[in-house]
Amino acid sequence: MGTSSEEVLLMVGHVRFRKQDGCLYLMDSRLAWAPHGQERFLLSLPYAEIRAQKISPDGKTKVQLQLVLHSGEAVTLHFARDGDSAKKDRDGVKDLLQQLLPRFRNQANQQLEEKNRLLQDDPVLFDLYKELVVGKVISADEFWSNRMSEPGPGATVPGTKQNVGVSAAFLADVKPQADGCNGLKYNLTADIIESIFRTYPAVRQKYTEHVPGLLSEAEFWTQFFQSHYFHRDRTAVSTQDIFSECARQDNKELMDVIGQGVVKPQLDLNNMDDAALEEGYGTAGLPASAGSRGSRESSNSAIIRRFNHHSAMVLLAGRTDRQIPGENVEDANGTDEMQPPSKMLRTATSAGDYVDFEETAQSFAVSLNLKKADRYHHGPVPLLSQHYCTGDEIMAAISALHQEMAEYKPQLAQVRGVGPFVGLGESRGEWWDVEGEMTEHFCFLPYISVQALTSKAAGQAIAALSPGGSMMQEVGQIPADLLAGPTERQELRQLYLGLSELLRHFWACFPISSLALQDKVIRMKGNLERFETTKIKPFEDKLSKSQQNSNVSRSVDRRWFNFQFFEEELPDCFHSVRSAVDCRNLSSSFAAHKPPA
Amino acid sequence: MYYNKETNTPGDLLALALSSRKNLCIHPEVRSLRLGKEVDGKCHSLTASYVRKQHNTDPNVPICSFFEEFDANGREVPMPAGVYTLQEIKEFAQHHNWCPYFLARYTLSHANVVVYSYHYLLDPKIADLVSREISKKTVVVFDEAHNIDNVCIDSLSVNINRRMLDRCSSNIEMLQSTIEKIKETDAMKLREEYRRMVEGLMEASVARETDLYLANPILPDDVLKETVPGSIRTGEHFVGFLKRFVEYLKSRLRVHHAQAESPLAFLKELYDKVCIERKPLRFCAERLRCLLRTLEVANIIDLSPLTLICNFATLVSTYTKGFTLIIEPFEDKTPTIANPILRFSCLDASIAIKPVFDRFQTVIITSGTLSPLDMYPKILDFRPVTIASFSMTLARTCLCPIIVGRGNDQVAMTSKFEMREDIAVIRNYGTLLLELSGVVPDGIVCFFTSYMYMESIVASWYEQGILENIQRNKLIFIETQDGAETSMALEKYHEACENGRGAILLSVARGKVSEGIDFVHHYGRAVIMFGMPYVYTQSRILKARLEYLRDQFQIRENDFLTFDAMRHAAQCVGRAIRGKTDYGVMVFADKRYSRADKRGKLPRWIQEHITDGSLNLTIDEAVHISKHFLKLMAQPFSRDDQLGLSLLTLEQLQSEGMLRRIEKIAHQS
Repeated sequence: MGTSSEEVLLMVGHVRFRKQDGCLYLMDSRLAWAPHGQERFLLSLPYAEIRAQKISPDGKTKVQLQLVLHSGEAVTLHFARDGDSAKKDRDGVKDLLQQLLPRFRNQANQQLEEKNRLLQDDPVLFDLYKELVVGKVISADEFWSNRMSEPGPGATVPGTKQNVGVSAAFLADVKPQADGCNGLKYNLTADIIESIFRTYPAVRQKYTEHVPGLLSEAEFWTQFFQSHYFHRDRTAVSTQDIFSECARQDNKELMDVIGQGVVKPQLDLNNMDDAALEEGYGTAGLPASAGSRGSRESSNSAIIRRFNHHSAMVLLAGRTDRQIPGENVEDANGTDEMQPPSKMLRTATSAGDYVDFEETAQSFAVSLNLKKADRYHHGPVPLLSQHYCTGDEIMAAISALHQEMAEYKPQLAQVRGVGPFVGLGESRGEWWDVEGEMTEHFCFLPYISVQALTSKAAGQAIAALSPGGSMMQEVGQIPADLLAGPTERQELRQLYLGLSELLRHFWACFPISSLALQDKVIRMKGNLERFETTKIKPFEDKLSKSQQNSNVSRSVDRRWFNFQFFEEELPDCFHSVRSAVDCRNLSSSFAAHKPPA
Repeated sequence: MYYNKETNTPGDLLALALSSRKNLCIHPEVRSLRLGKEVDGKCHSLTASYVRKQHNTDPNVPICSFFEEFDANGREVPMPAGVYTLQEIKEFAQHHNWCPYFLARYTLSHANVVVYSYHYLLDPKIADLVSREISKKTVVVFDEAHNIDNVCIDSLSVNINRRMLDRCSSNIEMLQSTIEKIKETDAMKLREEYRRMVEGLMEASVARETDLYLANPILPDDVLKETVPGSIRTGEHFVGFLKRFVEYLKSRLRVHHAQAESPLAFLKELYDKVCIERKPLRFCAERLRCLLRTLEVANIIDLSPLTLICNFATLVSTYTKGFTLIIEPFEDKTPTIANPILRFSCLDASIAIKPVFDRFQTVIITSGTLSPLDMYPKILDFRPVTIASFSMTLARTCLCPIIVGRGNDQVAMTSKFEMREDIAVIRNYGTLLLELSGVVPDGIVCFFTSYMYMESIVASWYEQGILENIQRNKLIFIETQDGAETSMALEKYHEACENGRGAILLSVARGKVSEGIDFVHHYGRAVIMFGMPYVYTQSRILKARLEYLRDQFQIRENDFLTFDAMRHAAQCVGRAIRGKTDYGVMVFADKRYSRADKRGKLPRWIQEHITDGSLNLTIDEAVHISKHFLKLMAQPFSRDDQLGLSLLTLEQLQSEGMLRRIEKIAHQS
């Protein structure tokens, strides 16, 4: 009965689902339902998938609870006990769900957001999505199933999210505007608020202390902008200003930082002068006694101090590992006495190093981890639809290819070793049995043993793949521009992308090691067929209509996906899908047509 | 070290750096004090000969184990050859459990190269202790000597304020009670001292090096080789004498208007009012030292005000020419707050450096910003054997000095007194910084003429919103008058340059940053000099000095002021270029720099890169030029590009042609 480690929070009997009586369980992270007398859950819904719950109106005879899922489906549960007890049951479930759902909603939202972001960031992917999901070729789940797991090139790996620093001028962005009636209007965005919080943790603290209870958010920010804290050049501090404490705290923080001293000895001004003149000697005069500074000056120095502090805080906010100032005090004391000599030496000599004499220039640069290198180089440029392909990307692709070539080793020996593990369970025996006759079919797979790749087969493959061969017929003979106008080309491109996406899903199922995968292969096959009928065929017709030559349209297919070949093989696939070995057989023949990823 | 590695032969060069106890001490308790004065005092209280003697009888008296260890073993074996930085000396000494400070002091006498502060040679109070052993044939090199005249003057000048005198009075009381106490317990000691005085055997018992705290403040030649006059021979008499002197000084500080007088006039009045003669006054410093040694005062630092007064007494009675005495009732900036101060100021830099010229065979004065060269022989009063000015051999023009004289609105930019508060000038300065901050990568350093000026400019930039706009491009850090705060700002500035955010440091010419901090490579891609850093001309000391220079050395006041301003400007601007691979824009933002008499006072290596096209530019032109320059400089620059030009291989160095070229360059000046 499910995994025993799950904690059952609530169990309700006599709940009908699809007219069947059963028992409803609310677990840690999912909701499940099992029919009476059965040990298997027929319904299992992670809370993250549930968008909302609805209850039937009080007046109705049936006491029902409807769960609306993110996918748009709805699950209706009927509480079938007599009279009020059914209602009680339902309310119990409802209340518990009410508590549980928000906890998981974040998670769900995050996923949704991530998907949204991916789509927004990647126009190609967006087109694909439109093509396949909106066009009802495959379902959204299938589309995302192996998108989300693999981080694309340059995509952020969750957990190693890059920390973006705070703009130094975020307060300057809050441009006050006169609102016409002797007041000022400040425009705050979420970004700016976040920046303020990150830079001035003291303000964040004040915010959490005051906002929900004592002040409304607007009031809080009004006070903030009115405060002495914001206008540092004002010297008169009113006592009821809630931010005066922040100022004090900041000052203390600043003093702490100063008290810690500097790490680089060549920057320590106090330590710099050696055998300095003692007090009273020299012409410079004595240190000014305290209190001799006028108020005007002190307001100026407050501004100066503010800028120093602000810049320091901005820097700190940009740091990835933000340290609490108190923490490294200890550190500093610990290392002060006996720093590792190498460090001290380096700091002591670094100022006077002559790089000329060093054999290799050391690179001390902080490496930028750019998500969009081209945006860094060109500045924000509007993305030029899909034709946008930077030199960097091309270079990267080429170098990656080179690298792959250089590193490529036919892992021949491994196949034999791996074989038993790949063909799991019952298919294992078959695997070994058929191996002898399999060689012909496996010849296209690069990871097949040497014996498998007979010279004859190799010759065939090469012949087929070389220009003019069976598989490369007419390739490159007719340039795409001649074929069609820009709209067609655009469409063709979309089709190509769509097909490769589908094929990617299709191939991702191999090797078929489980029942689910087997199902998926069949489903994907259906998808492919549907794609053919709904997309390719109309396109082909359209092409042949607009272009006088049917040969052209044929070559289009040929050129992009060798569709004919695909068609021939597809029924095969369908029939033989039950046997894993046969599927491998199929995959071998498809390998050649697998479009470049 | 490099030679050792390359030639594989152990060098026979012993080079070391000497610094104060503060930087060298390894005694955990002492070095934790951090303040130089306190470290010195604590060290003294642990290592003075009488303390060590006491320790022999009573082991509870604390002493410094590092010094004992050094005293026992450290002198036998000279330090192995090598080049020692301060840190390396400390490590070496730590290894042997010796005191690094005294080890370095001891090694001074037989080291080949010694690097130390000017004060160890120029300040008679210290030079007598530290540098006495150095042989006549030693070559003395004053590097970075552009400010040498100020060091000379500082070493002979004294300031006394009311607080100092009050502390002095309490010192005297303390001394008095100590004398009474000793009289009861150990009258022998005092009698012995008196006997020595009579016989003029003051230094007969050669003082141990640790006992010497401060030597005579006057130059060795001027020390009287006579017996101490009778009026101050006994301890009580001397203390009474000091008391009178201090009271007199107090009365002098009760003035309501500034006074300036010569030392002779001061002495005469002193004699007329309180009957203090010149001669015993001259012995004050000496006598105090003697007394302190006799009394075995443990904490000498507490007595520093008294030492100061005695030094003043000796100075004022010894030197009658080239000094002035100024009493000011308040500071110029704060005329409402009474803060009387007595300044005894040296006006003649040549006095302090004269013994150095007399004593050593070869003295070299050098700096990157000694310019104009002929000024230095004049103000230091010596006859140079050779004068040479070298330009920099550069493989590429890595510096780009530009003089910005006008804003885009054609309003002249200048820090001239009449113009400096002009709103248009301030705004134009702001625009210049704003525009450059958008063009220059990484760090920009700005120098203002004075701290006051910077404060007022920052305030008005803040009001005008210029600073906020600058913040869009870079972070802003500002030098303050507090050293620790500035250090913190500096470190953050480095961090911001390091992580690519870029930063601007606003600082002050003549400030600590301009003197001591280098902005190598990306730490300073541009330096902006806002205005000409003229010294504050209303100061009485400066006026007196200018007058003296005019009378004695025929240097016109304006010439000296311009010279002084330009050397500081060059100093500031030169902070950015610290090597041949380095590069940077130097912006002189004042129209006065365009004038030939000002420009001509810049060092040659800067001057020769100022073309006629880079004079009196507007902001836009300046931005355009620096943009072009920075783009050019940012190209990769490898060692091969320099070879043969600014970097020579051994063969190239030995070739005839190159030698001739070097000779030619040397003779050009």
